[in-house]
Amino acid sequence: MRAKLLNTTSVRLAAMGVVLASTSAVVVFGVIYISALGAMRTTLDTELNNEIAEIMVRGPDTPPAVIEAGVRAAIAAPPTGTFFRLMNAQGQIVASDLALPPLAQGWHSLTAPKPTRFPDHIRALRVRVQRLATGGTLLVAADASMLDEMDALILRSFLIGFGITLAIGLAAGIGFGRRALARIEAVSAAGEKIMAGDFTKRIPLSGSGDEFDHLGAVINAMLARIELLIGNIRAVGDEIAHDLRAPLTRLRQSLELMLRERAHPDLPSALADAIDQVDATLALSAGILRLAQIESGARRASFAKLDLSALLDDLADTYATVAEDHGATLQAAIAPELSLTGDAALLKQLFSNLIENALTHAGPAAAISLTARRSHTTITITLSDHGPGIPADRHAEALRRFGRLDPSRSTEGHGLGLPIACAITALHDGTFTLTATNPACERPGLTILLTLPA
Amino acid sequence: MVMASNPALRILLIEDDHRVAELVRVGLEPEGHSVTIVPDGRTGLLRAGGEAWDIIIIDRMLPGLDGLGLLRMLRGAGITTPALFLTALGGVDDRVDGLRAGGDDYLVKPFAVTELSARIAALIRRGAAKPIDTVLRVDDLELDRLAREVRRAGQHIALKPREFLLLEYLMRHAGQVVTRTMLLESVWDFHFDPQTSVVESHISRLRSKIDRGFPRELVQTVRGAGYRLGDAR
Repeated sequence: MRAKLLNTTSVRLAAMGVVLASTSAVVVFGVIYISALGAMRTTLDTELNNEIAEIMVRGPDTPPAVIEAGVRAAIAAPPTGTFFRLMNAQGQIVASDLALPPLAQGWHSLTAPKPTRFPDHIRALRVRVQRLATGGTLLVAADASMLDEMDALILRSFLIGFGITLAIGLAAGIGFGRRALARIEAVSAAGEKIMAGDFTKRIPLSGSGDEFDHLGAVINAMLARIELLIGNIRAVGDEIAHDLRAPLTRLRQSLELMLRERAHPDLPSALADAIDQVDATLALSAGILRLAQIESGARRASFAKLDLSALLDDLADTYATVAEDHGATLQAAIAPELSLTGDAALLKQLFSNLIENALTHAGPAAAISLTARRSHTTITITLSDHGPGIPADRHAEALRRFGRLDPSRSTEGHGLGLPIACAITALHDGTFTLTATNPACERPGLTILLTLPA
Repeated sequence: MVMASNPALRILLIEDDHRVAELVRVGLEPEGHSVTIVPDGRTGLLRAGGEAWDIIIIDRMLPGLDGLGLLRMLRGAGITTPALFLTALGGVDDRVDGLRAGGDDYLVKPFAVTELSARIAALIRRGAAKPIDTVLRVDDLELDRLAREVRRAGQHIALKPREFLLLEYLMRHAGQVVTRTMLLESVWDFHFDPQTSVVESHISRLRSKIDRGFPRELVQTVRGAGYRLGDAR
């Protein structure tokens, strides 16, 4: 999936920048051009007006003789870049130091080589023609080469500046585009590797802390989380496969045995045994489904106000009887009138799981105690036993799916009791902590400390 | 196991998995019931609405029309025949959904035929129930629901609240097999499978209180199925 350079956002942005820069350059140069030339022309025009005023000392009423004398004096004066021509009413030249075709009354800008004979160094003229009372005309012209040169200079520098702006803009656009493209290509390459199954691959960071690094860091964090989750799923998959294999293997063996010994001594009991093994397998898969359902959080919709004291008293009563049959005791100290918002069926399962966990693991003659009390805005429930307990470094493992601490998996139960209890607590926004009942003892016991929002 | 305790029933089984359907037929016919199997929802709806049945057993997931929708339509049409859902879904909410749609009971696959049979018997009995008596009697055992008192042969017996509920359930289903799961659901309101002997421990307590010292044992264990109070009827 290679991106095309011209399609990159950077190149498009650069192109847009170039257009904007060029437009503003045109405007700036335009303003400079118009105002600079305007100022110079005004200077020239003022000069021409002054010359005419100097000759026509009494304005339109100046006698023709005075005008003629003024023109001749001006022509005779040292060269100043100003030229004169006086014509009579018949269009004949009276006095002149410049060859020009007849021109109408008003202002004119002339450039070489149109007029026939300009002085050598002059490339442009600014001309004013004034009609006289006698019917003749007075023409005054000034050297406007400067104006023309300035005009050309400004235009030339404009074109050069415009060209440079365009070139820098395009070069920058392509450069940034290439750079961005290279970073994106790196992300794409990493993405393709990940899609191919290499979940350890990460997006390379340049270390500059720019937005690409920022984005890359976020994506990398996401990838780390996905890797962890996939790792979990793989582990759970392996665990499920392992847990399902054990009873299925035993089942297969007993079925094979039944088949081989046609006259099985106790076929009904062997078959009942086989059904037990199937049931164990089904209980495991049901437990897995239930855990997934609880973790999905959908049950929150059916939360209702409930009497936790009554629920716990009831369970304590039920399990005291069961404990007795196990040669154990269950003592309960439950504060009255504890109520919370939750799912009664799930809470019942939660506390049953905890009590049954203690009954199964605390060993014979276990003394189990269940307490519940309110502290501020939370309800604290503890379940303690004096059994072998769980070493502190394995608490997290015990709460994980299939975190049964006996690696051979030979103990009873599907190993999901504590994880399901933990998930139900989390569903109720509670906390679930494992500690030792008597850390100093040889048999430290296990205390499960649970808090639920009241 | 043959339990010749029930009258012959006309049972409609709406189930598309023919192996499950056959298993149910083979399990229930020896008890004298007739089992009619319909493999899809639409036909099931037509037959359930058009003929008289003692009980309708419906699979939740059916081709054509799903089980919940089917029962809702039947109930909407005023048909009150007891209905029992079979399902492969063991979810927490699935049972509630089934009961809300008008189901009378709910059984998660796979199930033992004895479990199904016991539940059918309980449903039929409930359907034919008279207004609930305040005093239940089985043999010489007497339970007063209002006074919360239990006597056997006139002798007062003190029961804990849970034992009282357990005995009340057994007495209401006297002569029928009740399974461990039925007891857990009705007496404890447990909708999960406890890993310890909750039912067994309580039955043994109850037994020691109501049967000890009397010549006839009323609480009987039915092997592979559950318990029964009194003789089979």
